[in-house]
Amino acid sequence: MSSRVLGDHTRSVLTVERLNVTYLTRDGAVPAVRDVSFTIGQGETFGLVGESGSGKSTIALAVMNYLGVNARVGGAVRYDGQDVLTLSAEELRRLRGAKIAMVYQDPMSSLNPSISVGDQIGEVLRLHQGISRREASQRAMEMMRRTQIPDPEINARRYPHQLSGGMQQRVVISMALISNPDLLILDEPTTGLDVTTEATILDLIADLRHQFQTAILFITHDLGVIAQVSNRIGVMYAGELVETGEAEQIFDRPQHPYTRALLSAAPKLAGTSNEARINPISRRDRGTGGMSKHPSVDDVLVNAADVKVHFGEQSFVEMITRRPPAPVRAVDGISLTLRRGETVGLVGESGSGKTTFGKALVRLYDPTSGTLTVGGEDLRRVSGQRDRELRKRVQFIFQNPESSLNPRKRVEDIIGRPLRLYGLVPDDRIPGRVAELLELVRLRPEHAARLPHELSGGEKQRVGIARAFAAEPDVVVADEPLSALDVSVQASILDLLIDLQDRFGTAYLFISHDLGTVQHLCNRVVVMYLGNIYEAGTVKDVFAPPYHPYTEALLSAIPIPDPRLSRERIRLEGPVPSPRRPPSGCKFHTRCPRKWGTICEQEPPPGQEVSASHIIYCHRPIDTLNNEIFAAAPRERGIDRGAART
Amino acid sequence: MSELTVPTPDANRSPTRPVITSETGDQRGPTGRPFGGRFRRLGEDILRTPSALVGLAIVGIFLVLAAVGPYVAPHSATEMVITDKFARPSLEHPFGTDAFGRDVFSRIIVGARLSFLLAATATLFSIVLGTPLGLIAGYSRGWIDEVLMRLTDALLALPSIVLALVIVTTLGSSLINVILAVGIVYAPRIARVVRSGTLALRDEEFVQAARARGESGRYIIFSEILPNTVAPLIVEASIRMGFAILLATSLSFLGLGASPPAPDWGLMINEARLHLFRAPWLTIFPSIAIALTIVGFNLLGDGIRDILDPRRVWAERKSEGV
Repeated sequence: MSSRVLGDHTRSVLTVERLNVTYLTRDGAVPAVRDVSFTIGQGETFGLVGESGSGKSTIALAVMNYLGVNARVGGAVRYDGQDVLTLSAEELRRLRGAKIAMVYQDPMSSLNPSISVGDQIGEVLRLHQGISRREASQRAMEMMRRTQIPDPEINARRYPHQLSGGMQQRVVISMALISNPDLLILDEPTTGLDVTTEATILDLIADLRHQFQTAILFITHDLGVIAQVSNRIGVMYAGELVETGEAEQIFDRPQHPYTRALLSAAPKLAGTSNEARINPISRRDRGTGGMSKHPSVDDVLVNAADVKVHFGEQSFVEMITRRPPAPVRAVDGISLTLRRGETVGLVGESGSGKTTFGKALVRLYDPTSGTLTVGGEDLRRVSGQRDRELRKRVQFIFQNPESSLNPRKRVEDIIGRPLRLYGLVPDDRIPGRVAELLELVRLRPEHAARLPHELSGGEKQRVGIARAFAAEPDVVVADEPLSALDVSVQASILDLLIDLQDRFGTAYLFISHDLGTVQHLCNRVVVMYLGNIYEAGTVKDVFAPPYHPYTEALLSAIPIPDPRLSRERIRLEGPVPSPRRPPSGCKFHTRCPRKWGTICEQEPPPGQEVSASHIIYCHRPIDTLNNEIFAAAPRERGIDRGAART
Repeated sequence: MSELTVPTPDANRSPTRPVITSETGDQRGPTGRPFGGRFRRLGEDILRTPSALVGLAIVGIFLVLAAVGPYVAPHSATEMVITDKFARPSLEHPFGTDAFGRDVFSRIIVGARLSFLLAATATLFSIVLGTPLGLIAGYSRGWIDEVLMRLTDALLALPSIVLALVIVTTLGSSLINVILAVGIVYAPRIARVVRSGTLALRDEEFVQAARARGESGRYIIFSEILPNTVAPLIVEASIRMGFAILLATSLSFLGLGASPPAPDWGLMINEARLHLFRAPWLTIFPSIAIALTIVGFNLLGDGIRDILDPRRVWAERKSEGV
């Protein structure tokens, strides 16, 4: 594989000139894109960053000329000299897929569930170049190899649902690249993926650019992602391209106030950036040193001892053959404590069981074994009035504000319900209390009469928070409360959570895959993998060496919003194994980049105490885990980078 | 239903001076609509969907006839003019006259009321019966679901007309019993629709939130889930109305239900059957009336389903895609 010398940036592949898009809706004309101009040269990646509704996806649709009939378009989109906007349907059909290809956010919706992925990749060729089935499948396999899909011969015969999310996205990228397009449009291609998977996909995209000299239009809301893949960046705000420039320039010397606001709103991982950007003291380390603030045993609100949650769903075959079912070991022995006023972060990839544990705490699932106590009372031993009392003390904030509010209920009923249910205020005082709670989460009184669909995403999440705090809880379980929100909204919701905790002394169990936020918000961190704890300690402990190999991989996968930083890359290959049949011994051994020996496959790892507050479950001796992942180094760019890869 | 989510730029907010944290720290979403949006929009959307519009027109005409039929009918529905029997369709009698010289046109117009009243009450009864069954089965899952669903399967396995016949003959022939029979026959179908809606809703986060809060099953079923199954219920009820008319008229055709000389469509066909070759219009026109109402309700129901189906917009966008 030899990479050609870096492409000719002066040969522009795509030129967008004064693009205007207005949607005609029954509420009147809505301008979505206003006067946007930019060009993308060969081998160049142009990153378009902005929040939802800023018009970035509309631009992608305009470039493909996919806009709906209700869109009014002005300006020009020139590809190879011709204006895409004026082409006939037949000319467009020949252009799409062959010359311009697009990858969407959700890979599953771009794949046909009933055609094997090999055939789907080859289909593009058979359609556009009319080559034979056999040759198409040969080429498909070759492309799968280049997009780093393991065992192409086997995987080509699989169907989309048999592949993991990351692998599906690779298939979609293979489909986009197989006809060797000049322009590739990627619309939030990694948004739904785990941070570890995201890292491998971003590596792949950067590699492909050098291999194929493709011009890439990369759309995302994530500054970390855009810093990692783009040469040039355009910042979108309210339909306008407010700033364009080289990646370094945007990150170092943002000109536009919105760009500056966006950069400062992005949660950063302290210690991962160069000195000027460091956010060295996490909120919790000031003064009290985190957990030691309340040493008394009385302050223990939640105590989990070897909690297991297994789901005993039998497959049909197992039912017929009467084989004992293999339970899904979602949570497989978790012990932790949560004290008044502290925040414990629960991190791990999807499938690690962190959400299941959180839901067990609010009794949506019953533990299969182990004890789980709230305020000293065993959750499984209570019923009746005590049950309701305990439920009141632990509240839950859901990940997705779109589905956690009943679409048929008004905000006042949603927030007022816990007040009524737990009898916290007399019925005639409920409207007044709802107004207070709205104010508490910084919403206005008139929001009370709204239905959820009349609120923005951030406003909905505020209602969800108000509902949780209406119960005056001691513990709040927050399940990725920020992941569905825009960056700037994330920052304000995070502030709100911190503020509420300071006021009420509520303990948080904060479930997240976003390590930057966890570092900012939490006192202690628990790292989970396949239902078990692999590392636990204070924020300082976990975010500094020695790292557990899994924590190390999670940390190194995070895209940093700084285009000049690079670091030792640790990439986890393959999907998380099934929790129905977890690997023997240390469950992480199948993906561990620092496997110690066969002992890892045979015995569960021992807990090694690094300090009184820090424990690592690993077979490796602690001193071999002393590793420094992050190094501030000038990023190899352009020609150097291309050459360095070969 | 909203075509694409795009921001409504605030006129007061200069785009060059962005406000990243507004009062709430959020940029206001584009979907904020004034209250009452959903069902008012449903009305608007029906007017835009051709099939739904045709269905609505047909059903509307018959509804008007059902309301004012006796006052606008050119002749009495029951008055016999023996000298005028078996008159062919003419200006005086657009649909001719029957064996007793009664005006068929007037009888159809007046009969609309009985048919619609029967069908509407029967459908309502099937909803009242089927909705709780579906909600309970779908929410409880497990053996309760198994028992309820196998029972409905048993009812669904029998042809509707046979089942209705058994019920009416057991209870005795009367209009009330026809309503009961049609309601019982269609309740399992309603239960099925509600159950599938409930199954999809029971794992929604807002239902989990209610369970975590410690709400009773009754509260969750009726206060959290039921309001969200209304849309598919409307669709099913609309389509069921057409079939209820068919089933009720079939029963009166078989001599159960309405009794002579009531102007019932099924009864009219039954009486006309003897004169099928001598006076075919006696059979043709009531049949057309029945067929039209069924087609009308089906078109309307299908139209509403298309409009309420959130996947429709998605599918439209997909079909333009790669």
